[in-house]
Amino acid sequence: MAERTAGSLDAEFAPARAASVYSVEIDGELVLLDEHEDRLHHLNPTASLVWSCFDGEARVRDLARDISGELGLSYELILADTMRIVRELGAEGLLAGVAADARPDPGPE
Amino acid sequence: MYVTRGFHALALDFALAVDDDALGKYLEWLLDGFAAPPGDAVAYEVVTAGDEPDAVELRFDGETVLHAAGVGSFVVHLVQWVNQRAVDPAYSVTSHAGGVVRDGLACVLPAHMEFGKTTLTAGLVRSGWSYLTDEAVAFDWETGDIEPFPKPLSVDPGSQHLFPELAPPRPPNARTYDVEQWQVPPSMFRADAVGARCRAGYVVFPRYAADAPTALVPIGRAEGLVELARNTFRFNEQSRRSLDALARVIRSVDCYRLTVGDLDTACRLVDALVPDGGNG
Repeated sequence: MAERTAGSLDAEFAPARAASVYSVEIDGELVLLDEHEDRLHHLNPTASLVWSCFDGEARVRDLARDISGELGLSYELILADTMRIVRELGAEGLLAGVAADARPDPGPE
Repeated sequence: MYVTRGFHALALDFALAVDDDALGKYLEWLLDGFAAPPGDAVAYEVVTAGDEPDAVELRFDGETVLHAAGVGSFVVHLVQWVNQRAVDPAYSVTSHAGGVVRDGLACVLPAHMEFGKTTLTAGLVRSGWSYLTDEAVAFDWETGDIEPFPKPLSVDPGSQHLFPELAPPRPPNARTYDVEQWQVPPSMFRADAVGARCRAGYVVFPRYAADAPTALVPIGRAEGLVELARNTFRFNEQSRRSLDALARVIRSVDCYRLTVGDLDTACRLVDALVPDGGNG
């Protein structure tokens, strides 16, 4: 199946964590290890909460509804935040089926 | 032939058989922080009487493993060689960091090269902390305990004016001290300068910034974990295991960033992390 780009993701997308990503939790924040790229990512508490909800079945709009209900915040606000987080995680190559954005060539060492 | 006592430097156990007695005693003094009971040390030869005038070589089984044009540069290269051989992921998960200890709790100072690790480490040892290392903090894979790696401190020319008392004697038979970096054994601070095995209490990420205000700022442990991992030798060889081991360490420490504009102020800020203000 062809990979999607992060920019093409919408509220109907059902995010799943990439198999190459390993996580540890510290004080409610996640540190993600992308073993494929040998890169580390630090998620803030909000992004960590969103990441913990990914199961490959729930769509972004479902996640936003659940989170907004849990936190008592506006659905539209949470949907916008969740969508931004999903696109950013996708752009970093951390979601299954989503191609990482091209990173600038660091050039010769 | 002068045969030194045995040395233990993390994954490297060694002794030196030196064909020049004065140089052998000098190296034994220089590496005294690694002094270890007789054990499984592997004997390397230090040869000054080779074909090339002034050159010094480190040999093992007749093979040259290190060659230097003069005694002074040999000392520097030998310390670097020990660093490289001592750090082995099979032995410990080891971060590029300085380390000092007080009251059984270590302050770990991870940073890239030229960020001022050695200068801050030396300042803290001078102010009363015990010395663990200025280069490599070795965490036990299972317990997270820190094993000291008390190498000679490698003091760059830009910091030497801060520590005039640490100017090391010139190696014997060196026509000139042909390198600019000092190699300072911890015993030059005081006889009991080296600390014991301990656990981490604080992780402080220092960065020297000339003329900047000196400031110690708390950061979250997750951010600290990422920084510590990025400063860990050969992290990618066992990345998942390394991350788990470092996370166990980080969960029980406080993390900070330290901008070092003035060394004495920076040392006072780190001293103040200790509950009794470093006066105990």
